[in-house]
Formats: sequence, C-alpha cells, structure tokens
Amino acid sequence: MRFAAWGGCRRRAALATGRGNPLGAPFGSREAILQALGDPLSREILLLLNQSPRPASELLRSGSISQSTLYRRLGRLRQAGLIAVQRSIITEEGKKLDLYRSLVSDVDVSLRGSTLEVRARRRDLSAERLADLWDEIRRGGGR
Amino acid sequence: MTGPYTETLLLGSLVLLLAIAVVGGWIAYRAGVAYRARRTRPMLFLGAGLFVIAVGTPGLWTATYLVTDNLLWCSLMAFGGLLVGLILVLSSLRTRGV
Repeated sequence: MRFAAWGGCRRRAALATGRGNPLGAPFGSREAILQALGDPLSREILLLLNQSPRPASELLRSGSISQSTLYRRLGRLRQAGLIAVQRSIITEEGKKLDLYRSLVSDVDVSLRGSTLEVRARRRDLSAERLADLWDEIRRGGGR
Repeated sequence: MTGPYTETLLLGSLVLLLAIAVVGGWIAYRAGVAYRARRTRPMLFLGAGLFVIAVGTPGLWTATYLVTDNLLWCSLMAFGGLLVGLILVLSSLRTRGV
C-alpha cells in the first residue's frame, strides 16, 4: 500500500502522516525525504538499514565517518520518517543497543509534467518483530 | 442440542481445547525462559499474551461455569480473556524497548 504521495505544492496531509506505522513515527515532508535521499552518506546508511537492522556501532564501522556525523544523519533520516529504532537489545556486557531499521521497502521519486511525486512503500516491521521473537523463543533467549 | 454426535462433539472440543492449552502453554513457557535470559518487555508481553489466550481463557471459562453456572457469563469472561491476551500479543509487536 502506498502511504505517501504529493502532487506539486498540494500536500495530501492524510497520506503524509504515516498512520498505522507500527513504530508511530510519522513520515516527514517531501523536502525532508528528498534531502535525505540527496545526501550520499544518508543514502548509504538507508541502503544498509534496508538490508537488515543494524546498531549505530556497526554503521560506524562500515564507513569512515565520525560518530557525530553518523548520529546527525540518523537524526535526519528519522525526521524524514525513513528509519526508526526497530528494537533495543541488551548486549552480554549489559549495554543497551538500539537496532535501526529502514521503514520503507522502496521509494519512487518521479517527475510528471509539472508535479514531483515521492511515493514510498512501508515495510512490515511487525512481521519482522514477530519472526525475531519466535527465533528468540526457539533459542530459549540465548544468542 | 441432543443427538448421537453430541458427546463426540463435546469430547472433541474438549480435546482440542486441551491441545491448544498444552501447545500454547508450552510456547508461553518457552517465552518465559527467553524472558528470564534477556528481560525484554516484548518477550514478556508475548509470553503473557499467549498464556492468557491458551491457558487463561479456558481456565476462566471453566471457573466461571463452576461458580455461576451461567453460560452467558462464561462467554463474556472468555471474550475478556481473549481480548486481554490479544492486546498483550499486539503490544509485544509494538514495543521496541528492552
């Protein structure tokens, strides 16, 4: 189901609010999404989070960027409603770790006549969470 | 309802309910073990929800029947149990926290 669509300056607010999002994160404006997609680093982060949920530390390892830059980009992507914390886990050292995940499975940006449209398809995070919980039950809580 | 198949139907329903209670209870127990290992809220909600649905609801139905002997109350209590269980299971999918 397509959840966000804009035509020219007329924003369809109902479609942009992201209602029904399991994480309750609203989708950002078209400008925020386009800005996030226009930045190569944000794009790279989004592509990584589209593959699987990852903690910030892993994202930090995959690129030569500083921690502050990474968290700034993560903040922008979260504001645009493109990513969210899927779940938090406790490591064996007792440290809380947030796993980020892309909220969209695909995004289409199209120019038709005089209108620019941004359409995104929502990822079903509830199904992924249920699968995660089921895996954990089968393993008895171990890693 | 009376007839030659009534007893078979009742017995079959009881066996099915018992099977659901055993399987659901076992999964809820496993979820409890997983919760003890990690102490995560989603696992707690899932385990509690499954337990309420699989074991709590039939137990509530039986207890209400024994106490009130009123099938309407039994149905209402079972419905309430299922609703609470469903809310708990759905909460486990919405809760991201530890």
